[in-house]
Amino acid sequence: MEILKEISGYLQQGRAKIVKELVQQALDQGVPAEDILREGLLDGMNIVGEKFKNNEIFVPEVLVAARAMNMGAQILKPHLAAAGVEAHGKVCIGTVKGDLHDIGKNLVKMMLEGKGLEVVDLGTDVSPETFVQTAIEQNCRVICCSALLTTTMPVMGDVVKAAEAAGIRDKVKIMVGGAPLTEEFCRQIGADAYTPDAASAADKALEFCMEA
Amino acid sequence: METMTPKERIKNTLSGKEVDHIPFAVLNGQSWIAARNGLTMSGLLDLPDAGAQLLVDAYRELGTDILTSGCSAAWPMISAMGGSVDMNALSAEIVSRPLDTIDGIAGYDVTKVISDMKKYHYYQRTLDQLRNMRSLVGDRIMIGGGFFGPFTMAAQMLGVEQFMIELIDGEEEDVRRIVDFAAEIVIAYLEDLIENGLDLITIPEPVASGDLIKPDLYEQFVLPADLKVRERLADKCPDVLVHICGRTDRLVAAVAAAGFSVFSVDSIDMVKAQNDAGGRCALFGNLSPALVLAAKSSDEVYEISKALCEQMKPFGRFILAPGCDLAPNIPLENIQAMARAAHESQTD
Repeated sequence: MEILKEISGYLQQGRAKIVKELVQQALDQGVPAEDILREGLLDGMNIVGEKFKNNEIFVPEVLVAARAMNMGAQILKPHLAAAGVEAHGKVCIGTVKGDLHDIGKNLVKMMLEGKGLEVVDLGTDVSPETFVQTAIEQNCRVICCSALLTTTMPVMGDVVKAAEAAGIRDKVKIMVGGAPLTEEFCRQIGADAYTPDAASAADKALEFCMEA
Repeated sequence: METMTPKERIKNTLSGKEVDHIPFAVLNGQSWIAARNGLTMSGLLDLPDAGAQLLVDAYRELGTDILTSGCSAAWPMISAMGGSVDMNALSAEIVSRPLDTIDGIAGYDVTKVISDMKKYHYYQRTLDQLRNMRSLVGDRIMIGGGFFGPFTMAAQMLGVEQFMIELIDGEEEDVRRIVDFAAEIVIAYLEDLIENGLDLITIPEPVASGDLIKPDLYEQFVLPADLKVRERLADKCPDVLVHICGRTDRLVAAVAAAGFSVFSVDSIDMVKAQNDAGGRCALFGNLSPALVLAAKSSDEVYEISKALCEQMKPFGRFILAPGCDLAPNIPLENIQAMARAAHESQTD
């Protein structure tokens, strides 16, 4: 449908105001909210994620695209709820205890939302207990831990241990990411997945949620 | 055998002349040294000599050919502009930003911000530290330092995420205005540092990382501001080190063509970087602090360093160094292993 292509296209350009108007226009034309979400907003955000992964676009472009998606999603929200459309799954995300850097975490959050996942953003300086408690209370399928500092990376291991201690390790997947991290570190601490960039993180989280 | 002073070694490296061996340096390293001594950055500056002796001893123990002073951060500017900083954190964290929107910069008078910044206690302590270090080491070793570069300083006023959005969404004029404003602050600070003994200007631009912005934006906003800093201070301090974190392979040619003395690079292909630099500037790098220095044994670090020195020897104009600032958990012996590899790299 032409209007959905337009929504996707303007979202990729980060034109938030136009995206918001087009989403409303599509609703007024009787296009189902779920189609607008999946073929308009999420389609656009998927293309943004791929381009980001391939170094065709960079952080500023992703930020403005995500802002456009959020503005469109705000309009859609009540219509999606009324139609009983549910997210593909629920994920909680945060930057680990002792670390206040949040750009990487925020980028992953945007990409997760772009995959149609519901995200509980715990912010920065998040303790292992908070990650685990949130996963239990909010029924999250995935915990995403971010760290920029080599000094805070070990906290991710504490998140894995806290999930084991709480008896939820077999119910929740733990993903790790951030500039100093490696696949090897992920294996050492017993986490389930390391991804090198925000778009791959969202792909992996979606995969985990679809497995559930 | 060493036949040169560290300063001669660095000066010769920057100008492409012969050296007795490849020099070794770290990028900043102050928070590593402070943490190792159980201090925060403010605790270091609060020592009676502002931490000068401790720093000189630590850099000597590490075996570096360059010392560092000056805080490489934005705290004095943020405080002078009405933001707040947690000085008890290891590297001082910005708690609140002075600007909500980019056009808010129009409400500030740069002369007043500079004047207020100079009254800030830790600003003056930084100058004390540098002066004391210079009197301890004399003229045999270069001391590098500085704030962040103008682009990164501008991002600190607003928050990096908001600043990134403004790069795409805002008016080009607004971005230029805030970066120019920051450049004046950087220049004023560097003038004070030079007066107190600095002889290597360092311009770290982490927000210009190739992982964050595309090369076009670097050339549009970052490079002109960094060049402005260099040109305004060229007669007082001609040697300038530019550092950009992350993926900088696409920026080497531009930095080298701009005429900066040395480019400090993160974990990129160094042979390609040397080819792109084409002998127009020295390269400084590039062992990963996280993936190599914090993760490997000292023997492995030595072997990696030795191999890099061998690889870079034919090009000249190379300083062995970590690819970014030292993380506090890097073992001393791993840094010393780098120094050993550099010292053993006799050049022909």
